[in-house]
Amino acid sequence: MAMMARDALAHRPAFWLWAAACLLGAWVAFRGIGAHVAAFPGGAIAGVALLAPTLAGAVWIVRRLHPVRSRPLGYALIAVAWGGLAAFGTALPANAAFQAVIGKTAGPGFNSTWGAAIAAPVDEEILKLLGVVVLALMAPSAVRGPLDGWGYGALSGLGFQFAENFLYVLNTIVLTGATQDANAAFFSFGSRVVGGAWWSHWAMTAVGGAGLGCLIGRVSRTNLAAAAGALVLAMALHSWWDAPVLSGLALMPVKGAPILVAAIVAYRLARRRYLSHFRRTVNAETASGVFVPGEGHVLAFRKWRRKERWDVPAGEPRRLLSRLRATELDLIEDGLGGLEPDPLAADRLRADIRDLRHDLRASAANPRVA
Amino acid sequence: MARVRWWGTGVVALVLLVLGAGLPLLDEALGDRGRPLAPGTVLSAGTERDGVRPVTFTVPSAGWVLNRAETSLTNNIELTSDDVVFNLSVVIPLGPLDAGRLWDGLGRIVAAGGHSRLRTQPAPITTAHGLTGLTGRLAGPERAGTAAVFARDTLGATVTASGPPRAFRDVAGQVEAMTRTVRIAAPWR
Repeated sequence: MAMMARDALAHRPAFWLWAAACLLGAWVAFRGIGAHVAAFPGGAIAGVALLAPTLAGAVWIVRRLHPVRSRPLGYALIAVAWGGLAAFGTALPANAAFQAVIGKTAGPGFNSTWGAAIAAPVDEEILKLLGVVVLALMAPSAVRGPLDGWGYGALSGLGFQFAENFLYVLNTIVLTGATQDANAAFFSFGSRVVGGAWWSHWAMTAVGGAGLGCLIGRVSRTNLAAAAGALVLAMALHSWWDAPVLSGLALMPVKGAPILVAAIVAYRLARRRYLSHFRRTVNAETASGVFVPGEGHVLAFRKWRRKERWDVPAGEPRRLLSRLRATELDLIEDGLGGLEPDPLAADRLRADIRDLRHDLRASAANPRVA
Repeated sequence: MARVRWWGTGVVALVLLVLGAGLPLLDEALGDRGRPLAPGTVLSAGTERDGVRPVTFTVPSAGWVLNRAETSLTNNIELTSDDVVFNLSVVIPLGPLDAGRLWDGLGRIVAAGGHSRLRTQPAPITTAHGLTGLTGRLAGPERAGTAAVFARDTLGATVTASGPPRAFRDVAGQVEAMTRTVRIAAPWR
């Protein structure tokens, strides 16, 4: 199955664009900061040692931020890699050029005060959000609605956040005159991660991703407006964070709160929409006899699906049960839409469910699924 | 629907191209857009408090141009005169700062730039306003220059100036005069 999925990805042009953009981004980033990494190895190692576990933990949490099933690790890593390599590597020259243009046209005084608040939101929010678009083009089943857009937007933002935080470790070393490399890494980590990670790139791109997810799920004028509105909101939140108001460590929570609230509200709305579709589909499929009564309850919770497997003999029956549940969830999510809707997919999935249920019954497994 | 695979990917590539290459091209097209500075112009850098930036210096003579693209008043100011580049950077220490450590740190920062290196054994320097620091030569392939560091308890400044040897020789006196006008307001927290 995994091999088939990899083959399917490799047949899509978006996969090769993703790979090329990530490689190019890594090369640009290496050219931009490689010399500083070599010059300040202690600070760079301290930075990676602090940031890498944080990224791993954050990716784990965002993957789990789904009411029914965790996001596949492979898709999550595709989004993280886009944010950390492709988006970050492109943002380096784009931001530098944009700020240089502002400096040349409006003056260095204006640029030092407002340059970041103007350039970074435009460049970075678009670049990070492209991670959701590329994933939807590579694997249309991965992004079917606002909840998927929210999750993969957040993951792309997390990748970007990690790379940018590492850049700031190096910048802090330079800003402190390269006199205390390790302390600079700890200071940067404290201010940008402990104090600022809660409302940083992941939250802004999650908001933009939720809107984009609406449009990818189903193209309509309303969803186009939702996607555009969410992108503008993400840019506005980013600009607010970079603006020279409420500066200082003590005011960080006050400044960051609107960003975190926006991300939470976007998640709650996306989750509600997903669950309402989930319940509607479960009822319809139960009425038509595809699902057995009570099955929707088991499907809705990871814990119940896990417990249910304990009642089934290990080996083939347990594998069949896992496949049955995954196929049922695929059927439910198929109705959400996506970039390449397949009108025959639902019937195919229903047939698969019937076959799997038959096989499971034949293997004398849990009678509840029969 | 398979068509979306192609045009969708094309749109993503186009956006990447516009941001990653279009903006740098626009920047190039705008040219240097440097601002010529009159003798006696006072420039200041560092985080602004009550309309004042803490690190200042004075341009002593004509011919210097403010590089607006490479200047971020919060962190640094870059001036050019022909092929000579003068850069003043603000240093915000995390603990007690002294000129010796700052000189060593500047040496690593300059070396990371890849164009030149600081020579060892800096000499003491005192500015017109009594600020003390260290100064020394800076050299690289086809480049000559000087560097200086100034440290106060809560803030520091580094100065580098370099260019082709002949061009640098012509303005070396101006660079030294400019360096001797550096002031750091203190205390600054």
